[in-house]
Amino acid sequence: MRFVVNLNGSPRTIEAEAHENLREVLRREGILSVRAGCDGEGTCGSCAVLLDGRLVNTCLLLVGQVAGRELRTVESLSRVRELSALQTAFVDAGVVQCGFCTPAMLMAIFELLEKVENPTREQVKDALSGTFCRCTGYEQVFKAVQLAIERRRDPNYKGFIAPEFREELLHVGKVRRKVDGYQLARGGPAFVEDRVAPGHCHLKVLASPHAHAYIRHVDTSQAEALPGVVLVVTHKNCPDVWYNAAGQGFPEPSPYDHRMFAQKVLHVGDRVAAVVAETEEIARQALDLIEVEYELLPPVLTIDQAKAPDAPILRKAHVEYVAGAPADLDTYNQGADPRDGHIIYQFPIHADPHRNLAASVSGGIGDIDQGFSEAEVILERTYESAQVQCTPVEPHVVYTRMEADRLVIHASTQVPYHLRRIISRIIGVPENRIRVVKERVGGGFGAKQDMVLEEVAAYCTWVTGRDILFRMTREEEFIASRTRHVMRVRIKLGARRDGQLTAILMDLEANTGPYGDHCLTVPMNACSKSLPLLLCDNVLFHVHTYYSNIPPTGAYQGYGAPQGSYALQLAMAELADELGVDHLALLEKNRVRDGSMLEILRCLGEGREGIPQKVFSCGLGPALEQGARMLGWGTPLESPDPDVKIGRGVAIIQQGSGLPGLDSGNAAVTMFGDGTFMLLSGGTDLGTGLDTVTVKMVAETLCTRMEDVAVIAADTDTTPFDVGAYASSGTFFSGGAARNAALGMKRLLFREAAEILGEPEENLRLEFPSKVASRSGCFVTYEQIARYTQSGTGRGQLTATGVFVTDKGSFPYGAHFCELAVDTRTGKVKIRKYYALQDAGTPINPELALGQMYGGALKTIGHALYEQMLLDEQGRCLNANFVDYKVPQIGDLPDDFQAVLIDTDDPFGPYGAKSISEISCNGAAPCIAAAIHDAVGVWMRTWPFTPEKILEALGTLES
Amino acid sequence: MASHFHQPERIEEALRFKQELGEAAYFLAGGTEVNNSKSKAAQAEHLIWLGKLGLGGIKRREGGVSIGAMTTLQEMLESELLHPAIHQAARNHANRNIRNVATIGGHLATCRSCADVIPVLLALRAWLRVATLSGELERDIERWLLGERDGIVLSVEVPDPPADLRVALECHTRTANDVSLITAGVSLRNEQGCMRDLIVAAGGVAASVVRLHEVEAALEGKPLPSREEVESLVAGQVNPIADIRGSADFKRHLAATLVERALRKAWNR
Repeated sequence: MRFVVNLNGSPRTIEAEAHENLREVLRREGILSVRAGCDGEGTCGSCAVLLDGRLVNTCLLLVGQVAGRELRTVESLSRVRELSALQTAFVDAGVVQCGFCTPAMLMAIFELLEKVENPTREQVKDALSGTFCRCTGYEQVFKAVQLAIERRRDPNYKGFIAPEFREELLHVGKVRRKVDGYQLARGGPAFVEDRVAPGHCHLKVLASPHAHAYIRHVDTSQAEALPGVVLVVTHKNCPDVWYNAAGQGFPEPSPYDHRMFAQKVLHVGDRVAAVVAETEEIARQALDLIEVEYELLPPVLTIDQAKAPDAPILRKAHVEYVAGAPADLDTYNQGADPRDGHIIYQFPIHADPHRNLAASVSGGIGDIDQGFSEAEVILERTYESAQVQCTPVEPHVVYTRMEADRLVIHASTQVPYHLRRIISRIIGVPENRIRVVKERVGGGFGAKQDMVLEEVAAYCTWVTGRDILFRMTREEEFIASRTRHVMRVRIKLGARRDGQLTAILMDLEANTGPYGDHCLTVPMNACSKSLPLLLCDNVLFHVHTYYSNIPPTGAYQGYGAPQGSYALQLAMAELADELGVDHLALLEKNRVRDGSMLEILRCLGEGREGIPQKVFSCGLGPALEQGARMLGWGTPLESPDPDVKIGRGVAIIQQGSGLPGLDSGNAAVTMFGDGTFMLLSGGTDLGTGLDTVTVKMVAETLCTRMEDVAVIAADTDTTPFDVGAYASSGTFFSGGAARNAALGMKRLLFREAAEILGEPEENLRLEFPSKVASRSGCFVTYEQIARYTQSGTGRGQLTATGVFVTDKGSFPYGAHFCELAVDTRTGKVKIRKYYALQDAGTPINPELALGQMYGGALKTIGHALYEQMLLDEQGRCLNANFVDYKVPQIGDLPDDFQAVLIDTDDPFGPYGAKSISEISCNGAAPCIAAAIHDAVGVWMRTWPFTPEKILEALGTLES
Repeated sequence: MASHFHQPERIEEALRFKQELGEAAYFLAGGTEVNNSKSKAAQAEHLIWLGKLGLGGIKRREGGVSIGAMTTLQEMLESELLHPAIHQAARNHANRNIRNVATIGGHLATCRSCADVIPVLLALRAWLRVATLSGELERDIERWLLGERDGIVLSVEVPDPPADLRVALECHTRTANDVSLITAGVSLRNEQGCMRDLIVAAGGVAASVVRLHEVEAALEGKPLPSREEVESLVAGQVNPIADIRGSADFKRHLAATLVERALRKAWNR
């Protein structure tokens, strides 16, 4: 049928059936901005447009309902290369991070500003009440709206957006337009799904309905016979390669315990088969035609079940070691069951898979017994964290195709180079046959560090030659991508009466689920990013990680530190209460400070000896001082409502800036004929602003304008190696590499200018914009240098490369404070004030750094208060969607939400920078739990702190 | 996905389609329920869209206000003709994107246990105009809730409340953008220190929103008793089911708390 709609101001005739889904039809019509972050339930709002001037989710409408009506999408807001004032306001205020939900947000605010001249905060919240954003924490939207209003009057209005740093620098530390902001605010092609060509195939996975079972028999003949089916893959015909999917640097500290398809399924949602078909519908039908016979095994869901002496064993695998094999390995392997496959360890991680132990480690400093014997007070508590999902609004997605005889992978990944390496090994072709192009990433948060689906599509394309799109549903994202490790942490603290710590014991057990991705390093990080915050001579930690049949876990922003921090920081709050001292004073007495030597790090390397570090640039003192002042720490609190109690809490936090001695970043800077530059960066920007960081590094170092530096990043064919975006390494390593490449270019510029000007190099300096000037007053422009070097008599085009590696660790520090109200009748917690104060060294992009902080804080407020994947006794997830799994949105913002950058200057990071994002996730749970205790006197020792649990703790409900 | 999209232009036509197609057909109003990919209706073969029947709009009429069935919840929330308590109830529903599409007719037709707007309609003694094949009739909302849901809702009729009517609503959600877990809506008059014409409605405690007649009867004509008394009265009258959002005890406790709060708020207004 033909329908006429008014689309973005002009009539458009659409060929469609009346019952077709409007979102899908609009995509077909080339409107790419209507994106899907849910499974067509209208729960994410990413597909929103204006219908007759009102914001609606297109996934909930059929074409027949909109015939003759007016549709307006974000594509109408900008013209050619010119963004509207609203769009520039969004980019400039720092609310365009991954950009996936940006078109929807823009249309929501567009509608609001059409109707209300000067909207209130509440009206902005109402306008965005249906838009789910996991990146930004929303807070800067209010600034964006203000900016947009001003820019209606004056398009060049700047206003105050964020504090700036380093007066002597041009770009670094200044508010500048994010380099991918233009692309993302327009809603144009940017993400993997925007790259698909007509005629591509769809890949769908048959998911195991059982948490723990052997596949006795699988018959794919009927599926293969279905017209339109291109390929069916199962454990019988997939590559017989065991690999690691954690996306870590080689050699990985995680076991090689994945096979593309295995004979044993280990969680509900585990892969049984994949179908490649010409349409999604055919692929779905084919899945129904695959016959599988299972031999059911009892599921193991908890740490206690996994470690029980008679526990069902997930992996009676044949174990191999690349290095460091134990002497009794052959005996050990006698207990293996061939159906359980293999596990390969690059080096020992103290695993015992035949007893469900995925990894273990212990270490410490001083003498723990001595420490406890010196203690006047000993406090021992156990804290548990729930399984939460990263929920990037763009689910995992990949598009693979052949270009001539090479495989091209369009990926939404944090680790394009690791992906290339792992896939090359699985398919059995050299790395130079594979190109990974990282597209804009619609949120990663760690879930996209792991290789969750790319290898399956890549293999199928390699085998069939067909273009293949593989996109997870939201439900699959919950049950078959990655989640936060479930942890149980026992803390034992010894202290003198005056609060001086004498001993810290951290005994941590983790549940890694069916795979061992990050099974050593996430739980270790829970220790290594929490213990060094407290100065204590006697420290001991134990880590034991167990396999189980829960949905897979992996990396998630914070990487174990949120769980470790929750336990240790809340234990400190409990200790303060026990000692009758002020919590803040207790932290002040025991906290790390500039000059502290962190010996504990020696035993916290990633599967090898770590490097002890001295602390420089610690902003903890000012963070605590300023936060306490902002919150009015110690002043009395009164609630006008007798049912509502108010309390305050604090937590101190830290993270790292990449992995010293393990990570590396590379970059190259090339000069073009007019004196502008192309930066080739290995760094992976997943919405964080990393491409803007690297461009600033180059523009700053080369005294040129930011627009004179174009960037291509994370395309393995054209850009140099980088480990990827994880471990808070982006600014430090990828930024450092870009700076080092620019320093190389600077040396080349001096060499050429010296020759042109006939002056010694030591007389030369760079001068903004784009000149090499001499003390004598002469100068030569970059354009002149480019023409000179690229002429028939020149040395050739200037290109410089840079690498960044280091053995130095730079730790960002911070303090999170909150004030909250507990409704003692409903158990509901309302956060009134939340202040995140963090030092990032020099914040390269201050407005984006604040955005990272707001986003990390709100996300983890969600973990602390609302989020938890619920499993039934069979290991089925009961809430794998956004109706039942609640994430915080704009309506849940603290009434007063402030992120504050504490100014420190780091000696090792590029331009003094440290990391910013992951640390933001470590404060919410402990500071909220401490505040709940301050309000109502109960300690919440398992997250999330739901109303029901609070009422149980209060004794209002029986538990 | 449906394979037939019918767009009748007359009520009789719509009713006849449904009669002929039976279970294979669903009425489609806004679409937030029916077009939801996870709904049963999304699998139906036939959809009968009610968008061409002229059922939109909010009108003043003798003694009250008439809300056309295709009126969206957002339009209700913006309408100056409607009681502020209706605004509040509409605002409690999901979020802006959903309210811009969800209709009051669809809200009544799906009749969820926690339908945000139904308690206030009960509290305001609204009734429905319903079209059936045997003609147009007026239907009491409570009977609608109890299962007499044949036909197509044409409008919700909200009578002008007496000047001294006091209305209050409460609801509990997990996050701000959530389906309500428990709702409460009450209305009463204070006649010389006693509650009169009391209506107490609660959502989330039964298959659909319910009026708590025993609670009303126990309190009618009396001053508001102590909190504990009201809460235990309400707790004894509701029997919610446990689900992943909460245990039965928790929900019962919430219902008691929210009804008591709504009563006290109305009483003190």
